[in-house]
Amino acid sequence: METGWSSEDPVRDLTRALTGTMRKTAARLVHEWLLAVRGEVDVPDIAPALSLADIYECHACVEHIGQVYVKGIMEARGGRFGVREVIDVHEAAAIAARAADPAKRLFVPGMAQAPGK
Amino acid sequence: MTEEQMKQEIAELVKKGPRPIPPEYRFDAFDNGETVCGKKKGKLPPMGWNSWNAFGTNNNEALTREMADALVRLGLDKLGYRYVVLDDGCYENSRVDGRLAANAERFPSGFPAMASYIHERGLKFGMYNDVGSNLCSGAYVGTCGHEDVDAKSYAEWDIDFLKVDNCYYLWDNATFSDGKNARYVYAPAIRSVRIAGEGFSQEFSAADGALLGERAAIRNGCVTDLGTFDGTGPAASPVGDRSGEFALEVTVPSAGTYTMSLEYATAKEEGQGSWLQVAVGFGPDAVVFDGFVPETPGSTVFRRTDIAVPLAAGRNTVRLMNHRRQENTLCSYATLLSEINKAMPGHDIFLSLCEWGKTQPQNWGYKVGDSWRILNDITFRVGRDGAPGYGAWKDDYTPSVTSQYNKAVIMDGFAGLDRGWNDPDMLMIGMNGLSETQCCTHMTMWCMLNAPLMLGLDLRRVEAGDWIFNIIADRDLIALNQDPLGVQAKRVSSTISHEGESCCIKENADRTYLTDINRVDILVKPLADGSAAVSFINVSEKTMDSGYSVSVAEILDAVGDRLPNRAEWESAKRFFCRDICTGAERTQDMPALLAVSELAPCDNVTLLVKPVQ
Repeated sequence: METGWSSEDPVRDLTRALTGTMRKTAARLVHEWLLAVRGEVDVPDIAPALSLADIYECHACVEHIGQVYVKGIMEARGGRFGVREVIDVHEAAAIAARAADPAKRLFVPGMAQAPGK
Repeated sequence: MTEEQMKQEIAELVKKGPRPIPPEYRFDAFDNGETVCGKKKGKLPPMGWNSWNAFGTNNNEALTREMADALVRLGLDKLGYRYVVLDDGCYENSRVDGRLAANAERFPSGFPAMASYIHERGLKFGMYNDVGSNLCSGAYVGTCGHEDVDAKSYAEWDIDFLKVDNCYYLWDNATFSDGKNARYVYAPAIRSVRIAGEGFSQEFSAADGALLGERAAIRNGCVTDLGTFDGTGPAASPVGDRSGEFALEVTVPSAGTYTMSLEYATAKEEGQGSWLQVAVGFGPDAVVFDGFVPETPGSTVFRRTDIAVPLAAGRNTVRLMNHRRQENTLCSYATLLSEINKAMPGHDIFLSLCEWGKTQPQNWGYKVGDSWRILNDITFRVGRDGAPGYGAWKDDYTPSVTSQYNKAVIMDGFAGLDRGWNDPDMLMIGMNGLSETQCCTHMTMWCMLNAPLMLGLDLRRVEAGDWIFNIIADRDLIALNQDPLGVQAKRVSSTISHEGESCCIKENADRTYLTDINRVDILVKPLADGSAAVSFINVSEKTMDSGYSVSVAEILDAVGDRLPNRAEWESAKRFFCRDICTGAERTQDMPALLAVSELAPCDNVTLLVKPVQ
């Protein structure tokens, strides 16, 4: 588990941590990064995420996936989060950028506005 | 250990395959009431605190010590909450020198120190593992293949409780397991069967046999779905046959070994697999074939294979089936228990089976475990230090109070002191999302259902006398759960209401699976002192005012045979009632009718009733 995010370049740290991981693990890392680095509060209602077909495949991941999904940081594909898909460096960089900058986050159906803004 | 080494180790386990099933672990032995591995009977539901709902994988040594201290500070230990259970997230991500090891960052003092701290306070130490290769969090420390070594570790740590999960299980398509593992737990699709021997040959098509149990089906001229269907979700009732078989009646002229030529197609998915069991007749020793059949090139490409089948002269029932989903899992848990027995002779460890109801553990769990989960998790939004997590009253899937209650409430027939307890997962009292009333009814439900009472909140937030404390420390409710008679409440009626119309179910109310929460349930629980607890539970989120009642005659019909003083109930002219919540008392003359006119949303009225001599 990543617990020491670099104070010099936490976005770089996050990108490196995400590269090569499964999306379910990435969701946890991003969620923890948001809490530790940005101090970003959780969204209380993650209902739009609960309809993702594979969200319950990971007992320990639902809250992490819910938060990063409703905040528009990690998207769904075809109604699935893709818990076991592996992230490459390009996707890792894009996710880290959205995590760091709410202005870059994606619109999520069912959310009134992109949280974090 | 490198990832490559881990993959190699798992590959070797997969190559060995699932263990052969001894007769006492067979499906046909599930109803005999006998336990295996010396599993002890007579344990009441456990009470304590588990780290998962409170802190998820972020639990640590300091937090656990504070929780242990809080149990004592609040006097909860005196009320029965004694187990302190470290759930997932406490181990290093892989074994150290082949042994389980405490996560150095979160548990720097190690598990022996943790155990000592807990035991010194008069509490009991619980831990967590998994029958697969990995824990649900992903740590490569599952017990599969390491049962002997892990049992020795648990002996060194002097554990009192072990919760064992089912992720990454090698012999089924469990959570994070290979989806193709369904090949182990379903028989192939069968198009025809020919049984031949000296001077005898008979051909059977799919339509010539009988489908036993449930869900086995004939599609496109083939028998499919020969296996145990998955009970993880709330879609299906837990009552009744949860598996299907295909049975043929064949009459042969003489005893001998016959050749069964099977026309079949394999797959690796729910409903169609590659593993076949053949039994002649019924009973734990009836299985004559139990293994893979050669794979076919596709799920609709049929091949033939021959299997030797010993038949008696005259009529034989040949069963084609696959009960490995249940048998494999029972075997895995039994292997672990057996090693614990060797490492800790005479132990009294409470073994909590956590395979989420996938393999219908209500049928076999009593043989090896002390409680068995009945569904997937009650919440997936667990807390962490500083955030209590979220619990829901209702949900379409499993994460809610009512999802778990709906299933557990018709499972009283599977529970008892001579078996063990249905486990609708840990309490969510103290999490966001549930009101005080909902928490109170959640506690009442779990106590009436003889469920394990595992607190899942940060106890630093609780003070003696606050509303959370008043619920979890309610002596009357705890007394119901811990009553020495050990009988789970029975639902005697359910009144469903929609748009002003009501429908009351009385017949088979204890076996009818209801998922519509717009209803009021009446539960009755016989108690050791000859009284009975009667609970009126508004499962819905609206006021229910149709009037709800149960008579003494109905109570006797439902649980009379479990009351130690049935004759007193039958002859009594008056009954004494006490409302557990308000403390109000009254005495009623016969004919005694216990009635409640209205219930607030999610609320309950629970009465203790006793005949007056």
